[in-house]
Amino acid sequence: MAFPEKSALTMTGILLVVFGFYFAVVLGPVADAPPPGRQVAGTALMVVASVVVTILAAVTHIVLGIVFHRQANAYDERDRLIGLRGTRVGAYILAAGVCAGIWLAVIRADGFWIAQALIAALVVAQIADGVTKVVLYRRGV
Amino acid sequence: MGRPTLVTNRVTELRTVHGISQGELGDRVGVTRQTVNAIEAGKYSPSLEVAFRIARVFAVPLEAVFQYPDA
Repeated sequence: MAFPEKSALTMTGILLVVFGFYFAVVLGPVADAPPPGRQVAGTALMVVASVVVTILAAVTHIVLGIVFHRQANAYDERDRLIGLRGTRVGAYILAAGVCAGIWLAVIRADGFWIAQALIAALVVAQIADGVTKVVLYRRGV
Repeated sequence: MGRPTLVTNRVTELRTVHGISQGELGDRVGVTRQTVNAIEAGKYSPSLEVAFRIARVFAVPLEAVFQYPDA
C-alpha cells in the first residue's frame, strides 16, 4: 500500500469517527436546545472536534512516518494523479455544500444551521477526497 | 468496473529476465515500488517519460515493453 493511500485511509477514518460523533451530538441534543445555548454549545463542539482531528492526524501521521519511514517521502506521478483526482471530487462536493449554505443564508435560516451546513460540506468533501483516493489506488487509474 | 487502461505490458517478464526487483526498477525510473506493481497489474499506465525510462532499463524498444491493442 502506498504511503499516500495509508494517509488517506487514516484521515478518512479520523474524520468519520470524530465528525460522526460531532454531528450526532450537534444534530441531536444541541439542535434541540434554545438559540443562545445552542450557538455556544455548537461552537464549543466545533472547536473541540477541530482540535481532536488535528491532534489525531498529527499523531497518526508521525507514527505512520516512523513505521513506514522508507515510503514516507516517496511521492511519484501516480500519487500526484490520484491526489489530483481526489481533490477534484472533494472540490465538487465542497462547492455543492457552499451553495447549500448560500441558499440557507438567502432564505434567512438560523446561523446555527448555516454553520452546520458549511461544516458538513467541508467534512463530506474531505471524506470523499479520501475515499476517491483509496478507490483509485485499489481499482487503478 | 472495467480495466482503467488498455495499455498492456511485459514489465514483469522483462524484470524477471533481468533479475530486477520492483523496488529496484522503481528507483531506476523514478517511481515507487507500488507504482511498478500497479503498472504490472495493469492498474496504471505510466507517463511517456517513465515508459521510455523503463524501456531503457531493459535496453529494448518502447513497444517491446508496452503494447496497445488495434482499434
